Order: sequence, then C-alpha cells, then structure tokens
Amino acid sequence: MIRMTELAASGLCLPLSMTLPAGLSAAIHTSRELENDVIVALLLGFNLPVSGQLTVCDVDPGTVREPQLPEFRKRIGVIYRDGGLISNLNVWDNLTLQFAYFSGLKRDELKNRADEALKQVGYSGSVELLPSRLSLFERRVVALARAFLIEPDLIICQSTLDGLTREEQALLCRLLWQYHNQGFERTLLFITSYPDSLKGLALDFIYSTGGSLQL
Amino acid sequence: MITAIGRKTLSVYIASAELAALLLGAVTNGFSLFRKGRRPIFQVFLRQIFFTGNEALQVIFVISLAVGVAIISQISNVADAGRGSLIGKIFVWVVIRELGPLITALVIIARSGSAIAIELGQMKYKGEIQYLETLGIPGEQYLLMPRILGVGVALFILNIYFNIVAVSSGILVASLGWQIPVATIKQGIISALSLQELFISCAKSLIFGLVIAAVGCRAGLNVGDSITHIPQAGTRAVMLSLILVFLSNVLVSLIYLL
Repeated sequence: MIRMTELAASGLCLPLSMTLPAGLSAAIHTSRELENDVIVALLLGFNLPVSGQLTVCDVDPGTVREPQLPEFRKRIGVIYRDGGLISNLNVWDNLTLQFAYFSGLKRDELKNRADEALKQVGYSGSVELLPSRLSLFERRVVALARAFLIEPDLIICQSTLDGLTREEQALLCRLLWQYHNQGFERTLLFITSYPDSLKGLALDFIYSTGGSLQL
Repeated sequence: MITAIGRKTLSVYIASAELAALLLGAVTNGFSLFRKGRRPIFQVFLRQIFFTGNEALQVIFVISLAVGVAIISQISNVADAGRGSLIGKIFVWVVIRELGPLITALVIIARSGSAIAIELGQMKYKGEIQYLETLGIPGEQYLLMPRILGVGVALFILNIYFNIVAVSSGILVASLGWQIPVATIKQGIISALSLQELFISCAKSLIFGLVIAAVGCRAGLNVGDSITHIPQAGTRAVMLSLILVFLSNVLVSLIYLL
C-alpha cells in the first residue's frame, strides 16, 4: 500500500524508508510536528520529494496528473490533527460534502448513509454546529465518520490520538480498528511526534524518522 | 527607475494572466455544475447568488430610487418638460447603460468582493483549501467557479432590478413633480431603449460581476502565512476591482461605439 525508499524532502530530518503492505497497520514516529505535515503532503501528492521513491496505492503521488488526483485522493482518508473540517460548513455539510461529491446519491439515501456513519462513530451532538463549536475529539470523530462514508483503502491518522483523554483515545482506536478489521485491504497509518499516543496499539510496524523509539 | 517600471509591468502582467486563468477556469469548470458532484457545487453557486444578490436588494433599492429621482430632476430642469423623447434618451444612456451596471458593481465590490477575498484568505491561512483537496475536491471547482459565476449572475439580476426601480421612480417623480405625462416619458424611454442598449447594460453587469469575483478569489488565494495578509487581501480586492470595473466599463463603451 505504501512504500518509501530513502525518501528525502524539505522538512524531513532524515531520509525515510518504510513498507506498509495493504491490510496492515503501521506508525511513523516523527521528531516534530512539521514532519507530520510533510509526510502527509508527500503521501497525498501535495509536495514532491527531493530524492528517493514513494508509492501509495501502487502509484507515485508526485506523478498523478491533475484530473486523476481526485480519484487517487478519494482512496485515502486523512484524519488531521484538528479534524480537517471546513470552518464555514456545519457538521452535516462537512460530513456529506465528499460523499455527495463522489457518490451523486439522492438526498434521502445520502441522509441515511450519513446518519449511519454518525451513529457508527457515536457522535450525538447537533449536526448544525460549526466546527469551531466542537471539541477536538468531536472534530476528529466527525472526520472519521466522513472517511467511513467514502470507505477508503488507506486511513492516515495525523496526530489523531494526540491531546485526548485516555477514554477518547480508546474510543477512537476502537473505531479505527473496527474499520481496519472490516476489510482485507483496509490499511491504517498513524503519524505522530508523541510516542505515548501509540502505546497499547496493536501495530504491525513502527518506523521512526530519527532516533530510537521506546514504547 | 527602469527596474521599478519593469517590475511593476511584470507584476501587472502576472496579475492579468492569473485573473484571465481564473475567469477561463470558472467558465470551463462551469460545465461541472451538471456533472459529478453537482449538488455540493450547485449549493455553493446558489448560496453565492443569495448572499450577493438577495442580501444587497435593500441597498440597491434605496440607491436606485435616489439615482432615479436625482437624474430625472436634473433632466427635467435642463430639458423642456414637453420633450419626453429627450428625457427618455438621456435616462436610457445615463441610467440603464452607465449608472446601473456601475453602481450595482460598486455595491457588490464593497459587500461581496472583499467578503470573498477574506473568506478564501481565511481558508487558505487555516489550510482548509488543502483539506478540500485532500478530500479529492478540486478547489477551483468547489470554491472558485461557483463564486465567480454566482457573483456574475447576481450582478446581472441586480442590474435589471436597479434599472427597473430607477426608471420607475424617475417616471413617478417626473409626473408628480414636473407634471410630465407618464405616457410621454414612457414613450421616450421605449423609443430610446433598443435591444442593443439592453444588451450592453446586461453584458457590462455580467462582466463586472465575473471580474469582481475573480479579483476577490485571487486576492484570497494569495494570502500567505501571516494573519495580517487576510485584511490586506480584502483591501487589495476592493481597490483592484474598482480599477478593473471602471476600465472594463470604458472598454465595453468604446467597443460599443466602434
């Protein structure tokens, strides 16, 4: 699913090599927050590496042409540190935006699917709220529900478990693993600067961009 | 000195190229309103028409009323009350062809041009444009095209509204204040109002709308890493829109005359 070979880019401390086969889970421990942004940007094709090789879902993100980018990015769900919600759209619009854009489903069907996703993640707040009114945990939960709707092959969690209480972390992990175990190809990648947040996760691989890592 | 002139020329050239690319992109992406993802994009398009058009109606109503009354008062003082055809002609030339598109554009520059720049600037600053692209939704399709086309359509409609109110108020004041028969002024306006005049007025308003929105979008997208860039983007959008609207007004008028 992801293969990096001596990948170097502006903002990365050291060249990174890793392999994450489809259907497995891994974490990349970085030395600072900036590296998390850089890795996500590389994986999605926003930035180009200085050297080294990268393939995601069997393609080099840097070579994907503009018209094919939407389809490529649709295969990857990203849960950003702040949720990655659009601030001037309410919870409902944030949740359904991507799904409506790609599925073209009718309003009723869309509503049913979105309601299901919200129920699945256990979001009980108002769907009329703007993201600024949500807690960090709620924002990430909504982002997770949005990703579940699209059913991506790969979910990237950028510092998703950082800054949460133990209970909130456990709940997010349960949801992520539930999704991960539901399909053969469903792959999870955690990127974080805080190794503490990886404690207790049943990860298949752990990589580090610099220094040793003790969990 | 020469370096400064060269640098300025280059920046004007780049800005013009960026604006042209935005406008062209909006028009070509306009077809995607009818393709995949139609609903979310169409919603942004309708929302833009609503915010730009509907919410400016009251302001436009007051201004057009005042303009209609002021213009007819001046014309009636200058022209003989019996010369309805001249009054009609001046009204069509001044209000419908020039002031209608210009004044509605000025209102929209103040209300929506700066708002678009600030909204997009804020999204850029917060990294939300990248969030959208992460979802596989191209920013130019979801953010730019519906805003540019929406403002264009809204300004087109507002201009028609402005002209109707201004002309009606002018006729009313002329008949009540100067005892000029309504039929005389109406006849004068109808005889002066050719399809070509209407087309020029509508074309101007559409062009102004597209330009104002494109300038706002460009200013918003050029916001950098500092939060102070956001209000600057708003100011820049207003100033550039003013210049471009007046320049394109002259350009369209000249093309019409030729």
